[in-house]
Amino acid sequence: MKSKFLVGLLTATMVIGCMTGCGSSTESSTAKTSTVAEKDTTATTAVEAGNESTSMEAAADATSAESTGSNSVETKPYKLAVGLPDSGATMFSLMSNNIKTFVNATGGEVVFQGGVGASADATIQFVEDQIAAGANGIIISPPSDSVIPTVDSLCSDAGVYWGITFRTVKDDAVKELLNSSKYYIGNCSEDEYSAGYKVMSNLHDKGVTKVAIISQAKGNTTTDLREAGANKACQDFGMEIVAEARSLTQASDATSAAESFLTAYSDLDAIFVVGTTGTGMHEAIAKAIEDAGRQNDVKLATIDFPDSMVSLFESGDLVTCAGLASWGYDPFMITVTLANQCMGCPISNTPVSYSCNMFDINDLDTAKAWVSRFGNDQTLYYDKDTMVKTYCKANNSGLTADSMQKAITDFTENSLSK
Amino acid sequence: MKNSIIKIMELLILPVGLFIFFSLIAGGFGLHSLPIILSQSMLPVVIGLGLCVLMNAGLMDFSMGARSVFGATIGGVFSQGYGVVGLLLGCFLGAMFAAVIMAVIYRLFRIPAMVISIGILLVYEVLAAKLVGSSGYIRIDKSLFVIGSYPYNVIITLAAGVLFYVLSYRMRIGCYITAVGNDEKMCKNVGINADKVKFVAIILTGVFCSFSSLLMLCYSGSVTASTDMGTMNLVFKPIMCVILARHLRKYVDCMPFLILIGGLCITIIFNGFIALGFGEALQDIILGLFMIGVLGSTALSEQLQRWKRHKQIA
Amino acid sequence: MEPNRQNTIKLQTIFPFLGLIAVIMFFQVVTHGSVFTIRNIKAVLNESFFILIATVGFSFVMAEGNLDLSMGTVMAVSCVCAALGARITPLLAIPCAVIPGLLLGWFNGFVHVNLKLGSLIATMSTQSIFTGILILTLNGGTISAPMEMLRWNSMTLKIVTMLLITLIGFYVYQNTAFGKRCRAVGACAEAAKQTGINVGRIKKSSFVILGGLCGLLGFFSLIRTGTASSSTGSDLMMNVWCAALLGGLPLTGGFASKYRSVIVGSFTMAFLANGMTLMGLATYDKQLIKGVVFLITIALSFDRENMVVIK
Repeated sequence: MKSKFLVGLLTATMVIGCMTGCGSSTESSTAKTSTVAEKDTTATTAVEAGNESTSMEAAADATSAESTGSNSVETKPYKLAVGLPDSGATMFSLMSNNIKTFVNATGGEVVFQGGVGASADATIQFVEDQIAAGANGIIISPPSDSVIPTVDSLCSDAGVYWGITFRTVKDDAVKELLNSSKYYIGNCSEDEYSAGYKVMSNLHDKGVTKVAIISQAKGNTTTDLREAGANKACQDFGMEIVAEARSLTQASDATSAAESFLTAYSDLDAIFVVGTTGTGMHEAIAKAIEDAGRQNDVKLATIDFPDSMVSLFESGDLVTCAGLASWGYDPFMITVTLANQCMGCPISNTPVSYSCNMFDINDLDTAKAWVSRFGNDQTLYYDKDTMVKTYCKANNSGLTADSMQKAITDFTENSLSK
Repeated sequence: MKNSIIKIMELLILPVGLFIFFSLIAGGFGLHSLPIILSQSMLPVVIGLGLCVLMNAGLMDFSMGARSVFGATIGGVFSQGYGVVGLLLGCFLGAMFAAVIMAVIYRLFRIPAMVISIGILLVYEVLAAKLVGSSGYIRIDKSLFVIGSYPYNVIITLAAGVLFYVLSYRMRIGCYITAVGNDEKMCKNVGINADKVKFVAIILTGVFCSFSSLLMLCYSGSVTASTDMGTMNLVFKPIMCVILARHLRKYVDCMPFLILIGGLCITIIFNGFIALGFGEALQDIILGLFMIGVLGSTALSEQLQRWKRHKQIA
Repeated sequence: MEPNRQNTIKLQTIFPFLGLIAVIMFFQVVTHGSVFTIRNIKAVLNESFFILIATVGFSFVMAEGNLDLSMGTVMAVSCVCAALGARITPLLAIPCAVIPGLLLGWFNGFVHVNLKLGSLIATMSTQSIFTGILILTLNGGTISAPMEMLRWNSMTLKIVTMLLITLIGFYVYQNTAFGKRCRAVGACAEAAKQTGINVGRIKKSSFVILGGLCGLLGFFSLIRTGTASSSTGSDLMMNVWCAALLGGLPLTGGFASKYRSVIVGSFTMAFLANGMTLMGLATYDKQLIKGVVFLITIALSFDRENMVVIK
């Protein structure tokens, strides 16, 4: 009897709870109206709710209908979901701080989630969850091209815009699908293959012939491309990759791997960290090299500038590294594009494709210049005022895909000049 | 005594045999690899010693990796202010704190240790990540690296092994732990407070975790605060070492030595394959086959004898 | 004394249900009704689909007091085989997924039973072997499914499959001799053997069932994501373990293993993960809350009365 009463009570509670929960409308959070002021130096923005069509064409019409002399433009509130971690390494924090600054300043909110690109299942689950959570825009770094049709289908059904970071699409059928997609806003990528090639080429210039690599598990698109570039360089320059270690998560694993390489190959010339999710790996490898007494013989190279780059150059362990001006700049720019789309002021009517150039650092002074600029996770790529005025289409009608690409190129070229 | 020595020599055939095998087939593998093999075996051996205490009590624990990382993080934080004293104190306090919490939860909640270890692992990973800050790792001063380098790491592991031996074979608590692991109900009937014994066993793992925290931090000079159950990978190698050791216990009952044998075998295999230039895929396959081969050898030989007998009768 | 003991047992029995209801109610209120939207229910069903089906198979293994670490890898290998089969014809994908799953499950059972290795170390070793085979087969890349197969990824198919497998699993577990034998083996293998139960065959059969279901999940992963890679199913093992434990399945197996734990645990895991995402919690906070909720829920729902010894 008691159990039946309890079951009945619980069921009633659940039903009442559902009705209570369902009674609150999600639309009420967007009912506030506010404007983005062009000359507002505090860069505090609020957004007017609107019922404009979410199609790219209608948004473009809305943009073109703006009065050019107006100081305030109406944009929509929005919520973004970025499938990248926001902590665990300085570069993650730097990226998330910049994206949060821009999004918050333009009346939106953003959530981050790590581990999304680790597998296709995780990517799809992330997209489904974020659509259900009310995201207006989603950024992912898909593990392969074949997951993209499913993502596009989910987003299109839900009317959610989405974009790709750190990847380019290679499959022709998928490219065709994306070109005809109403909700795909574009991608930002870098030439990982060339980065891998460039680093190996730099090592060759320093007399390296035998290299051991530390990388991610096979199937990781980024490191696979970098390794492909490295392998090509090996073919071109007569170098050899003699050993590998993958999926290292702890610094002690990196030390063990480096020790094993050094012991097994007395003629080893370099250890190349192609890619790793763990932090502190480079110092651990440098320690292993120094403990083996081979710091004059064995060089360290890497892609993605490590936090300890300056000390590693100072000690002479690190000889070359390639990377982006800032790792987080790629997702930042694609998020800006997505945010504008969600605000109702699309930058482009067709999917964009930005390219971020990687560059290499081969000496201590350049490393110091880079670290002074991007070694702090509180650094902003642009001050808040610039972000709102320049990178918000509502305030800058001249913002186009070409101007965004130019900004990316300028950022890379000027990244060491501050 | 003579029998024990003979049995120890027989046991040494396994790592020595593997070593000779790889020395013959892999060019970069030889006597010069010994210090590295010893060094790399130390961390899994120390964690294995802690696991063995729990497994002797019939418990299982996946959180030793997370607790070691947590202890190492505290040690790293303390070392920045108080040097080597801070390092040692931090590692000890961090690891013991983690063990005490786990023991208290086990005693209070009365749920299986494996279950608690999964929950504890999730919590401690996050705590360590929050402590290290945005960089994701914590470093120690170069002057402290020597503690984790050869031969000091071997000395530390030896100390842990002696401690384990004394605890398990020379003290009453070790006897009680083994008894509780074999038949807890009987122990309760003869008046042993099994719950208290298991509580103490979990606390004792904290001591070994403090050793492993120290080794982990000083060996590489830094510790990475991984999340998403990444620290569980730290426990699989030691589990293999302990299970190998338990399988070999029929030859000689000295678990620290047997765990070392297990650790050496696994490390020799890994280094041998690196020397051969084999990829990760082959390493995984061979390691799995090795474990099945060694642990299943008894059953395999029994089956073979049964088949021979059957054939003879036929 | 007797009525109080009965009430206590009943409260313990419904704690997992209470936990599930509490999780749903909490997130429903905190997210202002976002839990019970069509889209969110679909997301939850998609997440719980994989966990539930794998937990159905795992319940047979766990009822015997065994564990399986190789579930995710079996799913990945099956997914790869399905993708390779689909290249010939998409209809081959299902048998190409399920048959390898069954075979790998049988191999797990063989290593555990015939080679007399504990289930933990047996499946740890086989996981290592399967991972190596997977990497060799994929040769560093991924395999895509034909685009037309993505159309098979429908909610109707998943719901029907989920219901069918859950109901068949329930029937086999509760009402057939096989299900009772699994639990008898978990309660006391020696006693089960003395009563004439072929313990080895029962154990192998349960691993085969789990392998087959993981194989089927490999197929569903392929049609959902369009990709077979080495990272397929990487989270499956821990999610299934957590689901089984959250639902109240005891590690030692035996007759305290109730089938309802499968359903309650799977949905609790799915709603918990989903709810935290709806709230927009940071990754660290999600993991912290998951750990704490995991401990508290099991502490409240663990059946101590039927356990002679708690290990």
